[in-house]
Amino acid sequence: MSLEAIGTIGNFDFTILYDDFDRNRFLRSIIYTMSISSACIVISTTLGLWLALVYHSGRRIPRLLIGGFVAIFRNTPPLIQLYFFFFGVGAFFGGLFEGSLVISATTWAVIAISVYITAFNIESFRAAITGLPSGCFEAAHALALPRYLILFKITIPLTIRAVLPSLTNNLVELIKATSYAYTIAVPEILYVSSQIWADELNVVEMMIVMFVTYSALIGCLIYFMKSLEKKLALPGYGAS
Amino acid sequence: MSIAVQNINTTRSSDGSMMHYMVPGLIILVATTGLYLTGHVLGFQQLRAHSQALGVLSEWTPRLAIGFTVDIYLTVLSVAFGTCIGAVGGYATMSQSALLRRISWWLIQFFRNTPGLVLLFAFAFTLPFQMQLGDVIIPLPAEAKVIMCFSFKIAANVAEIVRGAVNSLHVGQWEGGLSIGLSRVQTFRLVILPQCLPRMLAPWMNVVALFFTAVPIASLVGIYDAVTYAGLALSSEGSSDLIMPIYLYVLAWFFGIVFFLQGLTKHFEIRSRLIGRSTED
Repeated sequence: MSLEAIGTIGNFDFTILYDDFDRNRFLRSIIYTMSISSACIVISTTLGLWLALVYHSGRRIPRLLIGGFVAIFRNTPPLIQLYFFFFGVGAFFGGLFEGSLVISATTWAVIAISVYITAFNIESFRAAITGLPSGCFEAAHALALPRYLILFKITIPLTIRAVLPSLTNNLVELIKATSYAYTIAVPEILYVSSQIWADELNVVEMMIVMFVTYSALIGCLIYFMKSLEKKLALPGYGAS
Repeated sequence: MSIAVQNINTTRSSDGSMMHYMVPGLIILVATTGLYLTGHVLGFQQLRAHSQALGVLSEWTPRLAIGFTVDIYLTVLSVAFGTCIGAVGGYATMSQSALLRRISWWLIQFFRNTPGLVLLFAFAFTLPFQMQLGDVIIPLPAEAKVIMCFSFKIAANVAEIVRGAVNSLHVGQWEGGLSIGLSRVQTFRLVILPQCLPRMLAPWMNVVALFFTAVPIASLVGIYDAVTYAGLALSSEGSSDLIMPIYLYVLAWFFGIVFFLQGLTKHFEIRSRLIGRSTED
């Protein structure tokens, strides 16, 4: 059976199976979504860990600022945040002076989604750090370890292990949030799919394809995080 | 050692703990908006030409308020329907029939793991604009489709909450209900659910608050909500200097409403903790 025959089975018309143009742009959009997601995952996880450590170090002003940041970006619509960054801040920087740097829509999408998920990640990392067993720190102090060694050998490794379950939730949320980039014409999966169904009038088929694609992406992420969790698991800790 | 094990497992962020962040958040947001507007009104030279930001905002506030009522109305209806469907779904995940359990699990995973925007487009673009049941023609306007989509989205989250709350009850409650001759559904409705309600309230409010921040995507399928009115305000004023203040203003509105919801959550959480303590003693 040829691809065209499979693609047009029943009343369906999966053009991405047999039409080279549609297939190529759809595959490219998957790569786009994956690269936006990976960039956001790296940025939001690093920032989240760092800001949570700063928050935990307990100085008053950073605490208030980070707390305020988390509250604002967790409790306002991500769509309006994206509009604010892209149309508001982007236009402000773009028009600041002649020949100033123009930041592309993709970059703004990465910035906005990273900031939104960072707020969730800070909250998760903070909870993880607060939940660490105090005995480890007492032991470290008893061994007279310097602060940076406590940070790198005890706090961070234990935090990363403890945060993985809730971090997985946040990262799933992140992949779902990349579809917001559709609104500012970033050629990711949803945007390209909408172009394809506008050209080929196959809305239902593209919806099915999108559901499958997003499920596959999120499934891969969950599988990766679960195996990471298993690999990093401390013997004697966690659910048996 | 056992305490340490417990500690490392309780890393999920507690739901009501956002409240102590909210005040600095509110201060920062109000301060930013305020500074921006003052900058506009006092005016640097190039800003002075469009220094009526405050006037424009107050002029558009009634329209934006209409948009917000639409957002709130969508939220209230979706949450009402979604909670009912979710309670049934939560029951289905614990039913005796393996088939029902499997189907409900897949449905919940589907609605939880699909991007909200994709789901919204699927409902808005693939459902017909009217349905015919016998002789009755039921129109399906965009609002109905949006509410349907959001309801299922909430139902999936509510079902998870219901399942979690029921699992946290002692199994003896089920056995007790069944032993006095109630059916499973009756036990669930009369014995289990009333005991779960106080513990479900805080996470449920959290879902509502989080969901409320996702409602503006309805503007993408033609609902006239706050974002649509903000866009209308921008295009009719035609000044790029207004973009930041208007979106900041809308953000602040949303933040205020969620602030109120989080306050309620905190209140309920404290109350449910008190209730839990009094029944344990």
